[in-house]
Amino acid sequence: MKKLLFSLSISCTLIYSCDKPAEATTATINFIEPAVGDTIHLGEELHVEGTVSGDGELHGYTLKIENTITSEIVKAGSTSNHAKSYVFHEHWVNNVSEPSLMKVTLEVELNHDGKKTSKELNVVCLPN
Amino acid sequence: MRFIFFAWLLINSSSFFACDICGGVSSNASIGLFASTKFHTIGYKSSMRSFTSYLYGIRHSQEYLFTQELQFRTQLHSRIQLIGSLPFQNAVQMRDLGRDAVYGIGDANLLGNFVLYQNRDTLGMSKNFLSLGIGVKFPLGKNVPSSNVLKNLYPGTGSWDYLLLANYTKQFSGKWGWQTEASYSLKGKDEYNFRYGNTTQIASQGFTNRGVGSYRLIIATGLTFEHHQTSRDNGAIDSSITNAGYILSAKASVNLLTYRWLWSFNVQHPIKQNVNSSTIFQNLSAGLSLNYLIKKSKNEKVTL
Repeated sequence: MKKLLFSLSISCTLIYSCDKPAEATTATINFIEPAVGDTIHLGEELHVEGTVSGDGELHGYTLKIENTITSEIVKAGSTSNHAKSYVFHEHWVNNVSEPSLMKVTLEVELNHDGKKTSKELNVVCLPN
Repeated sequence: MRFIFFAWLLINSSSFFACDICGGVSSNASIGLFASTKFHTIGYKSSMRSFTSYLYGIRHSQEYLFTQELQFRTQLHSRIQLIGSLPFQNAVQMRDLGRDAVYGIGDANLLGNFVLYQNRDTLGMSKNFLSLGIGVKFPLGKNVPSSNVLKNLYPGTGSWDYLLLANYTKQFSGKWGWQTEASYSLKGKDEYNFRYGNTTQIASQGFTNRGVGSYRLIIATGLTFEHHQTSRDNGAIDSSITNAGYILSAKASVNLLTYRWLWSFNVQHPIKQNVNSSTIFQNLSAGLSLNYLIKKSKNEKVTL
């Protein structure tokens, strides 16, 4: 009985090992929206949408919108889901009280050793 | 035996005019065999539906819709029934980077069902039953313009909708039967000039009933086909929210009838589907309902 359980354990381990996808070494980040330099008026939505594609399994990503004038991070989110590709589609309503340059950053974790890649762009938010 | 058939009448007594889309699509009508009895009923139904949404061919989100529904049915005349329900919906969208929830009272609905034909055997049991229903859905639930990305999760459509429903049931023997229904829902515009596409549904299922002590167990299984026409915003088609497509699903239900109560559990799972250019996929849905049977008088019996 013990031999049987041991054999099954080994078999399961081998099967799992064979199915485990390779880690990514690089990823392509594509912002569909917004465009660099877009102007967002007060009360309008900053619409952040795009895709991430890796050459292997990715280990999660983080999206961050930062007001570079006040250093306030107005929206942030992350996931540690493993996948070869991601799609993101998030919104933030402009509520700035002074003209601000907002930095949108998307950072992808390529492996568990901490290797990352990122892409960022700036848009202008107006208080009127 | 009459109770058995009556129980079956109640199986599909709910969920007509369900929410139109809600992250995917849902059936527009199902009253099943709700007829042939002089009982009134009040009931409660709890159901769950889930969907998976894709963007650029990549999985984007998972949507869950939980609906709690109060429902009633009353016999106005030997050939006319009035059926109504009031839903409360709680919807959740889960994405990689967050989640959103929308909840509130949904659109109330009312349906008149008219018995066109019915014949019985010598024991008084219904052998053939044909009815036609006409219904209306009131824009009671909260609704938002199509610019809101969560529009399909809101509990209301914001429109007056109208329903035409035909139902035919054939009882082969004391233990076996077959039921088929077809419906067409005509959708109106909401206050933002958005109109969901009209929907058609055809469903057919076989059923059997068995005695379990003093109770009856009724089991059914069948298929449902739904077709949804294209939604329009200010008369134009928005390619991102056409909601158009079809879903072919298998369904099954288990129902337990006691003297005063009917417990029902149903599941439905798509076999083949293509909605919104395959960007929305409906997953397993399930529901649990409980109906209380009200007799007009203490000695009243079911007459089918």
